[in-house]
Amino acid sequence: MTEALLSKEIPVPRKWVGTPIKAKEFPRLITGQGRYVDDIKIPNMLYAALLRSPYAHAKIKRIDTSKAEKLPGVVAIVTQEDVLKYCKPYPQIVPPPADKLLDYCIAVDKVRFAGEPVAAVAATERAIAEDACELIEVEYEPLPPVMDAEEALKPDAPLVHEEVGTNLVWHEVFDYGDVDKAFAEADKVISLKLHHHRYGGAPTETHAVVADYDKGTGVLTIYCNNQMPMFCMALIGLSFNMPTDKIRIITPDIGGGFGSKILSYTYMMLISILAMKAGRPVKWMEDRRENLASGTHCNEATFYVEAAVKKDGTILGIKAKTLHDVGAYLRYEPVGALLWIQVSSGPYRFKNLRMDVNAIVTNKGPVAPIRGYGRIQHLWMLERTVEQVARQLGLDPIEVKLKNYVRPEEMPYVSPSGATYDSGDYPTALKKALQMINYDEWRRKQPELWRQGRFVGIGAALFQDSGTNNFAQVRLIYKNNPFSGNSRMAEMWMDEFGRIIVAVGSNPHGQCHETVVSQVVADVFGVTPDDVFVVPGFDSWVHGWTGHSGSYASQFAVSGIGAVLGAAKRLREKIATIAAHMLKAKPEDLEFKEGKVCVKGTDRCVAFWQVANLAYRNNLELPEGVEPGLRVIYTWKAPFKLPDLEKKTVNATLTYSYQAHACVVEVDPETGKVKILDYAVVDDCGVPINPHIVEGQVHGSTMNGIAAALFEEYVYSKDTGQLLASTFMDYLFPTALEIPDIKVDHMISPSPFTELGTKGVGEGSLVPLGSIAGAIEDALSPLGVVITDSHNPPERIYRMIKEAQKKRK
Amino acid sequence: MHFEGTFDIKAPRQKVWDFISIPNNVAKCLPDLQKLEVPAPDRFKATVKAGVGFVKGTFNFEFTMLDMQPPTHAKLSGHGSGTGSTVDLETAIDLSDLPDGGTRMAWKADAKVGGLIASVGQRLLEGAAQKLVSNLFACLKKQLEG
Repeated sequence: MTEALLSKEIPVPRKWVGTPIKAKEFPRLITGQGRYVDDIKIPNMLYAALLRSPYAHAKIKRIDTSKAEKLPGVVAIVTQEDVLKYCKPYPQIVPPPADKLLDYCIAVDKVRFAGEPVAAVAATERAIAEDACELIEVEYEPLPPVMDAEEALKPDAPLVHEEVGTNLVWHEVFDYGDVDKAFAEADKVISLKLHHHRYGGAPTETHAVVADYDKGTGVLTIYCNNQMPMFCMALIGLSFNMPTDKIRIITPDIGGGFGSKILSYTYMMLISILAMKAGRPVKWMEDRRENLASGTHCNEATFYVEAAVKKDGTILGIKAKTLHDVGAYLRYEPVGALLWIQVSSGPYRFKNLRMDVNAIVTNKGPVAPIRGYGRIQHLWMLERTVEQVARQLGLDPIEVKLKNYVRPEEMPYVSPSGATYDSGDYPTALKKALQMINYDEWRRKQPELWRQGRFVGIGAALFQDSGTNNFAQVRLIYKNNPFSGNSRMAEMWMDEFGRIIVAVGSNPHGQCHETVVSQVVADVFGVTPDDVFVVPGFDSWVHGWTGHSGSYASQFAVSGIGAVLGAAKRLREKIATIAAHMLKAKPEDLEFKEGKVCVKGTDRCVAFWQVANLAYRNNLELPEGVEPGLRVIYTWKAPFKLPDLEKKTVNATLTYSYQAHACVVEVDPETGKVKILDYAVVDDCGVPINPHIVEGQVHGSTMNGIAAALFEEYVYSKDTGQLLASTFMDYLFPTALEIPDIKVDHMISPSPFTELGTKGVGEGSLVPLGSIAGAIEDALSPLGVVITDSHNPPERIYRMIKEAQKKRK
Repeated sequence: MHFEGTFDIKAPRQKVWDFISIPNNVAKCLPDLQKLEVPAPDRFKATVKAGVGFVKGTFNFEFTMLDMQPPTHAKLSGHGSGTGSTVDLETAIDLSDLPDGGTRMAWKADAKVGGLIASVGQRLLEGAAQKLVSNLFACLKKQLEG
């Protein structure tokens, strides 16, 4: 931790918060003792396999399961007919007419992407279920697929959903400031067409479900690895028309998610139907090829951008038309097409912005809220635009960025869309990252390297990671959407031995919530993290929950910890009341230390277990009016407001972590391959509860971003709609060999809006998409190459170099 | 995927036409034929073993002969499925006389492949499909001349 910008007094004594203790979860997770869905075995359990569509777009004319049913070991088969008996279509977030869109957990009447489930088989063994899938005869009538957002808008384009009548499912224009005036006053207008490609999360553990329907009680128990089960609870309850008290959702350890696992509710339902039909529990474990093909990709977006600028590089305003290709079904969309609203001007201070936003369905896999959901696309677009502004004006991109950044003294800063950036020092962070790669030295050497024919370039970018979302922002999609705010529930108790137990019911999939919760609680009670037990995983019958529960949108350090702190204070107050009675002192004169409550400055103490004994077993000695037991619940609520529907503004998120990245790359002109020579990150997530865990998140996000920038892309065949990157042979998932050493440093700008000054940190915003694109463009600047795609594999760079060389001849 | 080719057969046009308009003759040239059913003179069902790279399996094809203009032009339309994949094939054949009494066959084929083979085997697909289709026509030539 170098420069502490700590300015806010933290009300809770901090011994453990801020300490890089080893994560409690690590020993069990890295020695193979974690318990995942696939480790769950229930007597009499069957195994499922799914038959998926080979076509991107086709009518289903007939499904014949008779041969498959006769295969020994097959117990149940579910097709569209069964699904229609059990389910209603999922409710949609979009306004009419696209709200008519019919979406089920299986293809009904038509298949709309290659890989869409068409039938599900439960058998006594997985291999039998797979063989049975081969025996199911499906007669399709192939239809022309529509594989491009712009093609999908043409009047003669095939319709993905006839019931909607258009492929344009959502369109809205957002106009902030005075954009026309900004363009009238501009010295120059810069125009660009940009494309943000499709990649995904590729978690180590793919989607998994065990469904167990108990006929006796009518309770459906779903073991799953969903990241946001209480969001699913409403969807599943509504679609099954089943009261939610009859649905129990359990998530054990989860092996990564990156947002993709928010959408596993379709599988949770399909496997549940299979279990209900079979009358036996059913397990389904997705294989890698299914995982890649079944969607949960990130939003693909095309941008038509215009920037109004002054000669000195000052940005006056930006106009952007955005086409989001959201794939075959909406699921969580068009939220991803809206979420730029959290980072409307990015780290920049221009006030005038017009966004013409379009969400379009195609015959690709449906998108999911992938890490940096909807913000990455926008931040990357802004970064490309600002760099092109600089290059077209003959200025240094880094100087232009620094000139346009929000100043630290302007924080908290209200962006054009009403999102309030809480704290931070963007210019210092960028400069620090540049120092870490020896920026001045590389700039000095660069002309000589170019003369030698070596294309070495430097790139730097800063993205914000907006965390703790205000659900009310979806009312800007459709005013009737009945969601707003954000909340979290935590339950905490001290047992009769004086141990503290916390049930916070989040769904960590790599974020180590057990560790950070115990650090926060340890400080409140004057104990060590080892004295605090955090109930692992989530069980809707055990953990208190609200409709916002789950692990998503970079928020646990704010919302989860908000709930934990509230519960801890409530429990501490009760313990203090009882202890004060026992010690014949005033509660405000007490201190909590080492498992005891003591009168400050004396050795008059009672141990926690003595207090607990009174509360649980010896309650006639409790002070008057004190309820027995030491168990409390606290529900944290985010301090948000409803959006202004007229101005279309909303304070969409509570905290803004950010990362500044700087890198040096070398492009091989013969092969187009990019080699990263140096990479540095400066992270500022406010007060880090556990810097060790933050560092892990920073590394993960950086690796994710490098992978997206150079390796991973879901490529579809334009004419047949087949996914061509369907295994790790073609979907290039990086290994440690592809990732350089990453230098990391931190800054701390506590959030003024959270109790501990913490900010969410989980997503980290994949900044390499910006920094690497900038560095490649810089390296190739002698050739005048302009980077317009977020994915830059050797082939694309090679072609760009060859084209640029041809033009110069 | 689109393929086309031309080759000359040392046999008169009527003989060529008579040969190729019989499903049994065409089916013999399919790769690794397992089973053949001819429910109608212009339709046949064939089970073949085929694949790309390591993705190999059994396909059930149904072929229909269309647009028959003896002894000049014919179309063969086929649909196959199996191994988690589908193949839709449209071929057209045009016959013309050669001065030496032989026949020139010009053929075109459009294939659309979906599912496992298209996604996993796509690196090898074009080459494998080209080979399959060329072998089919080479086999027809061989049978006619042999």
